[in-house]
Amino acid sequence: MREIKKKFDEALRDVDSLSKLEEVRITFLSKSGLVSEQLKKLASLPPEEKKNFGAQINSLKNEIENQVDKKKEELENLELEKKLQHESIDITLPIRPENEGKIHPISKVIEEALSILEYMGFEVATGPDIEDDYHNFTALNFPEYHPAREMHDTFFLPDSDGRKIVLRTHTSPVQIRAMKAGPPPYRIACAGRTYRSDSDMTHSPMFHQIEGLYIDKNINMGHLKHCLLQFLKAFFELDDLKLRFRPSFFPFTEPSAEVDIGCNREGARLEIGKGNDWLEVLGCGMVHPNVLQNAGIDSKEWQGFAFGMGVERLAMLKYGIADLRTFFESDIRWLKHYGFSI
Amino acid sequence: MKFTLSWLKEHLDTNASLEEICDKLTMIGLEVEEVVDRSKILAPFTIAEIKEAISHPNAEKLKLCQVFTGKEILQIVCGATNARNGLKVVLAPIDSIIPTNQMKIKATKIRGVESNGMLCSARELGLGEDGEGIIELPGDAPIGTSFVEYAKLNDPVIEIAITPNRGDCLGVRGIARDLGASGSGVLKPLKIDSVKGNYKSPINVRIETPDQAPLFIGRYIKNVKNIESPDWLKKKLESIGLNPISALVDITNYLTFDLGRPAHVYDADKLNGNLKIRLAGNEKIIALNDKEYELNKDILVIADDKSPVAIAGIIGSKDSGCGPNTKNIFLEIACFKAETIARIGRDLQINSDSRYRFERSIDQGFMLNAAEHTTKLIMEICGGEPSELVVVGNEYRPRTMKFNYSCAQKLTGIKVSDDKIKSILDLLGFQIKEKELIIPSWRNDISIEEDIVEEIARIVGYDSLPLLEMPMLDRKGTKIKKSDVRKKLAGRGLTEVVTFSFMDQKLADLFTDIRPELVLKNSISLELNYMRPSIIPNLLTALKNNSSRGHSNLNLFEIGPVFNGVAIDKQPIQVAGIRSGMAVPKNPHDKERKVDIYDVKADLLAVIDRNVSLVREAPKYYHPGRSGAVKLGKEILGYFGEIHPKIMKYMDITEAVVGFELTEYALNLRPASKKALNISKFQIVTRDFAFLVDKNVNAESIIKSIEMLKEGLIQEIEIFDVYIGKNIPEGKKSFAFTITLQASDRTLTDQEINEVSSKIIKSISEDVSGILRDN
Repeated sequence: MREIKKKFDEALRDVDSLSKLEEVRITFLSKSGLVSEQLKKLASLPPEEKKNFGAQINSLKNEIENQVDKKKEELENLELEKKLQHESIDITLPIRPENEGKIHPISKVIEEALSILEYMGFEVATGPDIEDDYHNFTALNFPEYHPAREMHDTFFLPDSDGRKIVLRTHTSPVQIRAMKAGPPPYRIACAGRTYRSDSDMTHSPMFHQIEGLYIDKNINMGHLKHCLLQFLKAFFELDDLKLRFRPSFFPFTEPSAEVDIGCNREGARLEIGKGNDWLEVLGCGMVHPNVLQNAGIDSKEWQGFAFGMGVERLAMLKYGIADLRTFFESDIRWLKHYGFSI
Repeated sequence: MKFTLSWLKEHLDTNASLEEICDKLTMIGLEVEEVVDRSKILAPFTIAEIKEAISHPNAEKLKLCQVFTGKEILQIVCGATNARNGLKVVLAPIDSIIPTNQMKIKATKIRGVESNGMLCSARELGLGEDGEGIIELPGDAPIGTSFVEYAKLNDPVIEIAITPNRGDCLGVRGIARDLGASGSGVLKPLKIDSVKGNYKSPINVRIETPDQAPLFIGRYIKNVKNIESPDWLKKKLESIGLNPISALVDITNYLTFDLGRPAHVYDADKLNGNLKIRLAGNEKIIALNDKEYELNKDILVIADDKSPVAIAGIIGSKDSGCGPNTKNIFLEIACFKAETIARIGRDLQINSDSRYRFERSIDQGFMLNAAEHTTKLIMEICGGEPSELVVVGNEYRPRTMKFNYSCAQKLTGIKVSDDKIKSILDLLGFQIKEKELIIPSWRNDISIEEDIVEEIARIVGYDSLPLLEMPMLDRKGTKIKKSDVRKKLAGRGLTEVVTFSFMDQKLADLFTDIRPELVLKNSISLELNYMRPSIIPNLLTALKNNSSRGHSNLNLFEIGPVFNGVAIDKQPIQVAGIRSGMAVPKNPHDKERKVDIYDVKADLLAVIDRNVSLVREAPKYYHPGRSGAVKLGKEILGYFGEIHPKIMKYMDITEAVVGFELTEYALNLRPASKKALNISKFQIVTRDFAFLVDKNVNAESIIKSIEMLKEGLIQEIEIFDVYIGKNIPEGKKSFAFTITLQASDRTLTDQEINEVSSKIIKSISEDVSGILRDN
């Protein structure tokens, strides 16, 4: 029996494939194998030896079976490893071409601003780009021949039904339309394209504005200040932001103000929310009683504020875009660089 | 509006520093735009003397100067023709910076000769237009001392932006008054001495249009000498960038900027008879700017018995203007309605300092004093004997208004005591009579309580505004946001652009029937003169511009308005996109593929998310055979297709472009409400079919044919092959699809499956003459 074990050990040592292992298994464990032959001897042994011999032969059988199984697993692993080695591919190849679309900074900023305003309780309103002189100017308390009107370099279209037709020079006509559409109170916001016939380094004939209007009872400039502070803090994502209100003039608000935010101009790049300098970001004021009256609202009972700002300016400040005119040039390099992934 | 600090201090008694004054100005609404402090920027420039100036050995036009700085002799190469021996000059030493071009002076060699500094012209130092030669200083100018101090240029120039309501601050005195009210000093009294006239003016004035010219004050002054202005006057005008001309002209300019009071002086000997303020006829005038203007009945003029001598409040005629030989003059201190001047100025496109002030309203209460003040100044400088004043029209009556003290807090939230309000209004020149205010004559912008509130708030300071939280409001329903569309398209690989709402009319003509009402009257260029009827042409232009820079495989989209008219409902918002080049570019993994209309159809359907039908119908700028419309019921939701080759040719784009558009209706569609979902736990069965149909039978009609069976077991129909070619008869195509069957309550039997199959085969045979293929 010892000899069988020795033979087996030798045979197993030479096994290097599953087929050879199978041969070994047959040689030793099959019905006519060496171990089985020993078992056959068992019947002819005297009973006193039977027990002992039987135990030995069973132990040998188990031992060989175990070894074969162990070797089998070993060989299988080796073979799988070989196969996997063979299946290896070049991981440094590039991925499949992906065409990543980008969202324009104007849309991004409008969405950010409007979602903040909506959170603050403003409803989004809209109005047409082609406006009449009445909604763009007259209703907003721009007298016909007033220098303030001339400050808006206006695009004109041919008159229609005796009305002067213009491309809106600001989003404020939406205020008038929104107020005429239903009774107060109003808390509306709007964003959109605006146009002025001016084109140079810092002016584009088309640009965008965001506007807010809140008319209710007893709403004053303190509410305006709080509203703008909340808005600007949220927009610029700053916990602390200094605001400065300065008196200004807009025909459709009285009192009027321009609002500066604290900034630092000392470094290479403008930093918002730090330093001791100021940067103008928006115009605002208490809605002029003439505007309310033009919209059919009793200005004795209702009052409130409006504010408006340039989207491109906000985008430039928040996202470090240098040149206004590049917004509308559709240069794919610019779009991929300044655009936003979804 | 520009002025200098010392000029301001002529009207304002103050100890405030330049910085304090500037901060205050900004905080009371007179925004400081720029402060030029020459004592700083011109500090390094000193007075020097050219000891010797000889020709440059290597350059004819240059001079080689030995310049004495007071300490040493410097060799400087200079190009000015007036550089000569003994001339006192302004030296820019090494390391100084020329203020007008920021150039830093360095020791250098010019044409092989060392040069150690620069001699400056007036233009280089920002002191005037003269750039021809270097500045020539008087012989007694002290060598080695500061030029700024010597030339008394150390007076900071402040420029402020005046909002259109503040006509009263278009004179230095008005600015001083506002600063005084804000506590930054005390307004000095303006001394007005009346000048007695000894004779009646030989020229009389009549106002034909009192509504547009309520008051006119004139005065004849004889025997004046229109000499060169004295230094103090010239320097003042120069300090704010005005060129001195002659004493009479300079005096009126000075008054314009000092008191915000335009005045005009006619050469009386060039006037014919009396003056009249009237509307013009069809006349012409050659103005002081040497331009000829055609006048009409809407234009207000001052005319003598023969012709107009001035366009009211805007500009005088050349013929009646003063020159060096002017001897007798007629002074005009007038008042015109602001809107009239604004309208005429705009129509004739004349900008003048006078118009600027009249259209922002001038101080009508100050006219008599202005006339006296001007007379006195003219007599001091030009001599002359004044007539009695000619006063025509209505004397100014101050305006009054009601004011409720509680208004200030109601509008601003700032608590201000009545006493504080009173003192502010008093300093601003208001007179308070119980609940009535008398508005100062210079504050034409004030008429309602809100205006007064702004006055109080800006003097108290907007810094005092409290922070008050907004109350809660009921919210109304919000609409679907277009940003969802944006994200869908960007997610599909399209990049968003924002292009102008206007485009080239010639290009638009290929896309729509041109509507005259959409042609801009004053476009900034001919390429941007028509309101776009579609976004597609702008996207094509963007594509073209990018591809000419070498970029391909462009996928762009835009959301914005298009215009079919000027009415509010003719300006819908649309979404449009284009794709060009390769949908799958060359790569090591997959086969490359060009974009086709199914890519943009997919874009369209991704946005719509509804069960829609397709029709072969699209605008003329699409390829007629490769385009279509998507409909929901009768409503068109959008178009897609290949851009028409004609357009491509016109735009010189070589590679095919596919595009899509979505209407505003589609954008505002809400997702359909969903049917109840019944998830079956029984086996799914699939069956493949292939039919031989006519080549022009489309996919939709085959699917419809199956859908019309209304067979509840059919869960899905999926087309997997359309084939024309080998083994298919001419004019036919093979059309193959998979049908998925499932019942909610049982496993299907073979018999049931075969019944459905038979129904499908029959239906397709009847509806589109399809024949089931055997294999």
